[in-house]
Amino acid sequence: MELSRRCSVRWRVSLAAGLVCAVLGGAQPVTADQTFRGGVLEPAHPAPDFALTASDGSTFRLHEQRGRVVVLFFGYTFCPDVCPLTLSQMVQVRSQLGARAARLRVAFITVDPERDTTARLRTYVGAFDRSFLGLTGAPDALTHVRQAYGVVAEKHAVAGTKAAYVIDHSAFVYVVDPDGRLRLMFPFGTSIDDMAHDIGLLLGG
Amino acid sequence: MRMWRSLIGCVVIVPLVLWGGMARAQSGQSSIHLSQAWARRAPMMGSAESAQGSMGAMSSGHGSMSSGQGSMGSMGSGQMHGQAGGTGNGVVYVLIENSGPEADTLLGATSDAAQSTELHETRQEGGVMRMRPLAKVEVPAGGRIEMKPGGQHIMLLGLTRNLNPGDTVTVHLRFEKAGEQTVEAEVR
Repeated sequence: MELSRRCSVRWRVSLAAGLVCAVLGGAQPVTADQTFRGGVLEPAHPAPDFALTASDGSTFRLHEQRGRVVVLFFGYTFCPDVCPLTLSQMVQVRSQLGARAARLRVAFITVDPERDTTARLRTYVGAFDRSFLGLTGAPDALTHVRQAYGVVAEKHAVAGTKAAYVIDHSAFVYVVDPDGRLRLMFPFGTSIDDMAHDIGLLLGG
Repeated sequence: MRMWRSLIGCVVIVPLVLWGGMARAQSGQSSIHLSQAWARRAPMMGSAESAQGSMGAMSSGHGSMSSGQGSMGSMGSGQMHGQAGGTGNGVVYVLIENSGPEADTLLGATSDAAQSTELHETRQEGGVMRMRPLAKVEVPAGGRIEMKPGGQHIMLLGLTRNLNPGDTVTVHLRFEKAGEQTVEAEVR
């Protein structure tokens, strides 16, 4: 979890990052509201690129998403608690962003390609918002993406449940800015208001 | 005549009062109170067979698009009707309060909305979420258990229907002392 460590360190410099953002944005005078509230990755590096199969049948290539803010998180459709919570929060984030949400792309990357077909992913993410995409691919391709983002996913057979297995996984939400840079990480528990605020800053206007 | 009337009155009223009192006493035995129950919206998904059927396609890195399941928006069409249950899962959260002087233990739950119902807990360890089954949940005397996202929850495995916002899911919770307690959870 190199990224998470970096995240916690960079947390403290989020004020500085907010200043930079406000200057780059050429926007109004710097106020508290121009400061990111989530974990800021500084300096911002290009988000690791990948190509995966999307639940709408297309191929999702991260580098083709320029001009949009891309929210990425990792989970699996078998998961009833944390994954739907994050999807549900993203529905509310979109709602708070209003018209700007048209430039927000929410992508749910499966950690369970064995069970998560594109059809399953489409049903699952579509239950929350039709614009959400579920992404899957060959196990190797998914492992590569997880490694690039520092995501942990461990499959466990567990006693005491009818579930064949569960998958322990990182619950960070990753945010890629319109220039394709990985800018923010939201730890589990970040409020909807804070996420909407920060994504709103990246979207501008 | 008057005596007869009062006698008949006694025959009718006394058992009624006694029965009412017993009923009150029975419900009064329970120190467990359930409230604020809600379920997360969740789609029932295809059967295990159909999910496995597409796995071959998955291994090549291309998902099968042929099963044509609709999103929540088209769920009302009833395309899933007639199946015993799918492979989609759901979750119910509830506040359990124990007003009694003794601890009680939640031993399990059932719901007609799922093939099986389990007690689970999600824990966060170093940014990683781990979901594990719980054999039981103790509710301390005078205490409360607040089931909530990212913590303890009632997991619905194999939904038998779509859980759309506004729907209601009935859940029966089985307690060691309070017996079975039923709660209606609104889908959000």
